[in-house]
Amino acid sequence: MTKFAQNQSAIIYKLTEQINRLEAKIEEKGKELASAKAKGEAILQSIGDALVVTDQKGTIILVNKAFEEMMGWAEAEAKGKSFMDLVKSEDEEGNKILGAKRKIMIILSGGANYQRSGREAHYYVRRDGTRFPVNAVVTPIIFAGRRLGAVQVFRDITVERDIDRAKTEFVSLASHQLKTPLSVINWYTEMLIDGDAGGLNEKQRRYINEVARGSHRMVDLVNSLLNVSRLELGTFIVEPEKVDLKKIVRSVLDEFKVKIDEKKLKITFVISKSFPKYLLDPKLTRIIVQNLVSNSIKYTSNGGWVKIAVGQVKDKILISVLDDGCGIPAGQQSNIFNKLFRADNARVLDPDGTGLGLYIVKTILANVGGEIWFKSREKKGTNFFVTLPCYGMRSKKGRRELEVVLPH
Amino acid sequence: MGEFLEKTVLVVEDERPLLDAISQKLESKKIKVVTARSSEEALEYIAKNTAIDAIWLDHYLLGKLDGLDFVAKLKSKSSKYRSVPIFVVSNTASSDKVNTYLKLGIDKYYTKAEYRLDQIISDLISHLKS
Repeated sequence: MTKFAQNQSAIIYKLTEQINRLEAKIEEKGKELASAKAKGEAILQSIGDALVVTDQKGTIILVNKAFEEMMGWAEAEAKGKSFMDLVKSEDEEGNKILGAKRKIMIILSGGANYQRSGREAHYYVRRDGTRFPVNAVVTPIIFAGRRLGAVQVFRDITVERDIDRAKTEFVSLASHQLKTPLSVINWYTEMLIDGDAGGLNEKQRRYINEVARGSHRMVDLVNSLLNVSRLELGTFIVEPEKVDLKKIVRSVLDEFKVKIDEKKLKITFVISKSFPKYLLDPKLTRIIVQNLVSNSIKYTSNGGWVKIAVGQVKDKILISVLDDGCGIPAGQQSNIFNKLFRADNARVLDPDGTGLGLYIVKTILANVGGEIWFKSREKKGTNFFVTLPCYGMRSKKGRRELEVVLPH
Repeated sequence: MGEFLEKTVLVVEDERPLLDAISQKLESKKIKVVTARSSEEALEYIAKNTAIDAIWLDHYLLGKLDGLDFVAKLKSKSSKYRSVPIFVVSNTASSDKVNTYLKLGIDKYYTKAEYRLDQIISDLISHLKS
């Protein structure tokens, strides 16, 4: 063999060896990949929540076992179909939730990077037409800066809802039961104060007045808790009729006249003479106005001022209540609409408050297409804004009206 | 209040302390009071006696019947008590029940926990005088 040939066969041998090694590596990697893929699939399939993956048009690419079981479609049937056509979404009353409002559409159109079910219940309709309350999270699949599709994970929350309902129903029932002994306390303290059982000395009168005050506070609390439970159970009624906001604000101001005079507050109320009547529920509207005005009066010191303005901005009714009161501390502003939350300075100025007023107002507004927000600086004042749609509140059948908590 | 009204009010209320408070307050205004703690008891009473000028009624009562059943019986065509004024004073009636009461023809509805006893009684007295 020539030297050349010797070299050549050595090179070929080495090359073959390399190729074999590479092939072995590829095979090994291939096995790893296949096993990783199988693992990934097994994980997706085994997730207890339903999972669906779509492309950027919303066409289903993949669903897992939980999806198949929850919805009634096999993966083969679901694949290739539009998610929104296949899985219909409804609100509490059974109205269809349409395309643009579906969370998956918001994600696919690039409107957000995360969408999860909110407080209002929504439902998915199964293959057999039955429905269940759902909690869903949708996120986009982003690769190399492009939105390739969306991943949605959802689950049936019937059990959670039943438990929540039972809790709220218990609060409602307990609140009702509390009213009878409270009536006993109220009427008997009233009789004592009126001298029905003989005259009282100064100290006795003072003590019994404290009892009466505590009891009235409890009635307020019970009524507010009942309102919260009716709002949360969705059993409250919305009965729109033509409402004159001018009259409502004036009558609320009349209600607080004693307090306003006592604190020497300067009240201004601006509304155009020709402000039209709108289709609103008078009781709910009153509760909204009453809470805002009551807060302004409570948290503004003697000699201060409150400015109320009602007007129309585009297709919305705007109510603004501005005061030069104690304001909301910056660090506590994000909690102000939370149930039972009270700001530190509010607690000092009005120890009797329930911390439910603004929560109730916000919840009412969320149910009637309105909004609420505020601007505030501590020790400077607060401006609350409420909007209501000019087309009015949508009527809603229910079992219960909300209680009006009377000021005193 | 020196004058004697010569009026009788039937008070139907299941809570003993409330029944006592209402009775005492009415009696202090020189009004004769008869009491019942259930609709059955109240119906039995009016079956025997006719001299009732007004009825003070709670919604939830002892026994099987509630205030609505009682009012329905009282306001039925054959009843001789159709024109007796009824004041419903309750804590627990839902708004549809309140509406039913008003449709049946009661005169006033009060939420117990939110009204002074005095206020309801003075309303009742002015109603009796009118």
